[in-house]
Amino acid sequence: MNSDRKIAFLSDDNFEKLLDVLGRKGDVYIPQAFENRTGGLDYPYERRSEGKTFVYAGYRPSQPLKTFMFSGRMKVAEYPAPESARSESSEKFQVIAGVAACDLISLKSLDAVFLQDEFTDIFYKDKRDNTVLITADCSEPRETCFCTLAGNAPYPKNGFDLNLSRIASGFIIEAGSGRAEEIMNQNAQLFSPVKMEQLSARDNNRAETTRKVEEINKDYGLSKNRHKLLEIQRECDEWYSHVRTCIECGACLFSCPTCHCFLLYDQEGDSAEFQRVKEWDACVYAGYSKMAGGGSPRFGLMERFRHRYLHKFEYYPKNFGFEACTGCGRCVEGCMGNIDMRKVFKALDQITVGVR
Amino acid sequence: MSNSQNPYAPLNGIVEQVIVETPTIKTLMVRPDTQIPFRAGQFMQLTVPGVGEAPFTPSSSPNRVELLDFTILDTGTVTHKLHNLNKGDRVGLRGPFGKGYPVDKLKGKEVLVVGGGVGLAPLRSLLYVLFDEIAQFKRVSIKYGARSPQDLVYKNSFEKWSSIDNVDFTVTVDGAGPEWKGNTGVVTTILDNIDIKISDSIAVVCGPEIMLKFVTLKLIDIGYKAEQIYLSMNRRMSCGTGKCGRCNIGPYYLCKDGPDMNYALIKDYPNVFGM
Repeated sequence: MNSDRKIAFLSDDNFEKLLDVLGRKGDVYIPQAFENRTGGLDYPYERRSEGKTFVYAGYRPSQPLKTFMFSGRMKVAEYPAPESARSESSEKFQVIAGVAACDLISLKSLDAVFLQDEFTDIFYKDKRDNTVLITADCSEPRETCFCTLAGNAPYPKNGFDLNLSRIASGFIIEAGSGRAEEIMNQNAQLFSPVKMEQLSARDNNRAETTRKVEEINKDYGLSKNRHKLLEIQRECDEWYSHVRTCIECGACLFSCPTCHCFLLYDQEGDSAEFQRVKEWDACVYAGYSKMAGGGSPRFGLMERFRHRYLHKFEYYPKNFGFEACTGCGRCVEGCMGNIDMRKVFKALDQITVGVR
Repeated sequence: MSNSQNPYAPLNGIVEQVIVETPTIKTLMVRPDTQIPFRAGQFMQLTVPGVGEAPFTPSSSPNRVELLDFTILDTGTVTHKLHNLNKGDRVGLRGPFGKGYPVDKLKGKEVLVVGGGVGLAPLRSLLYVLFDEIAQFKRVSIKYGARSPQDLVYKNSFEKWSSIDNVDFTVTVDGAGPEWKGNTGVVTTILDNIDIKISDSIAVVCGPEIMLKFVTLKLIDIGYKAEQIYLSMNRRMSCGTGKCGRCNIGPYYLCKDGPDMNYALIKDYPNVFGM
């Protein structure tokens, strides 16, 4: 933790007042609690409006953060090229509150793809530049959580604007960007100094939550050297036993905060004659890599299933130096075939000698 | 925000001429509204308005940017629509994408160019560059194969290419009637007993996936090392910029790191010649 950061106590009521202030500049999204089909609670983001207040769940929201950076289907070009290619030259300002550490860290994977070359995705960049991220420490990890296995923690360390740590009757709020410090300075009346015991309460929660996540994952002593493991076991039969229950629905990919694949397609336009649409796509689909003439480099389901692992844990480290998995557990939670990435790695680990 | 900053937006171009190369292959000569400099082997995404895009490497010389040739086999949705275009029709262009052929690495070498079918199209762009500076290369050997005599592209150029000093040009067809006096057999058959100092050679290969596979096996068999082989790989592409995900071989994206890949880089990854 950076000790120079601006830090304060913020009551629940004052946090709502802060969101009121931020809401004057753009849309504010907050987690809301909804009962799911198994009787538990899920926390999808909703646009903050009259009567809706921030729900601190202690657990990550349902939607991956990427949904706010590039929507499932969006217009990206009009042609023949009109005078002004896009009417909305700058994206609207948005505030996302309640972002979990596993989602915040996913932006590193997305930035690497969308920002870091000569072909910057201007739509993604606009969203990134115009989004205020208010993150929150976790306290209630679930069985599907494995941030600690992915090398992360259940609380954010860097890259947020403001971070919330739940303590009695409010939050410790910490500024992680210049923009956030400004927000805190401009609304100084909402904040009060943090007490030592409040800081220790935060540190205790962080340690305790980390311990809980580690306890949840104690049976999955994942190889520390996952890319090496995959290199060795690319062709092993183990893949076939795990893909057996995959129904190719794509839930693991669409819910994944780092999956970014898409397809461009063209259709009739509204303001210009034609338009180009960018839509999420998924590598488990047979049509994803299918070429004219019918050929495909990943013809079999096993090959498509395996590709997700190779891409995230072998190719990402080779291209960018880090894995494209944050341990959010959505792929485990959403899988109708009960496929658990941790079990796949455990099985690969068990048949491999000497890769730790 | 102008279209030029938007990597997904096409520039306008007009079809200036259509050349029928074979019963299934046409060359579209496209004049872009604004000139688009490219290196041999780099590719463009060609848009049929309202239909979609497909990737093609210009078959014309990179030294002629005002008019781009695209030699296209009628095989899928977009290519079929491209075949229906006429002089004066509008197309869209994005690019150029990819790295292009490693021309500098070919200098001072015996360059072996192997083409299969419409695969000679991207290679023609390279050949123009090689021919322009032919003294820079020890020799250029071109081995070209197609299914039948009527499937050969650029037939009118063969004689001219063969007559260039330091250029050796051999054609074969898989099968032909009695009027065909040339070689028959798949392209690998004209790689047997080639008069090339292999240790001093680089091979550049473009063609359908199955041809790439067997030419690679043949080249390895006759003594080429994986590092000496460049393959124009085939994958479905969409964005052209390494973002949409689908054209990878291992960690490499053909649109960004290729489409011509050194075989040594890709050979150990899964489904290199997936079909």
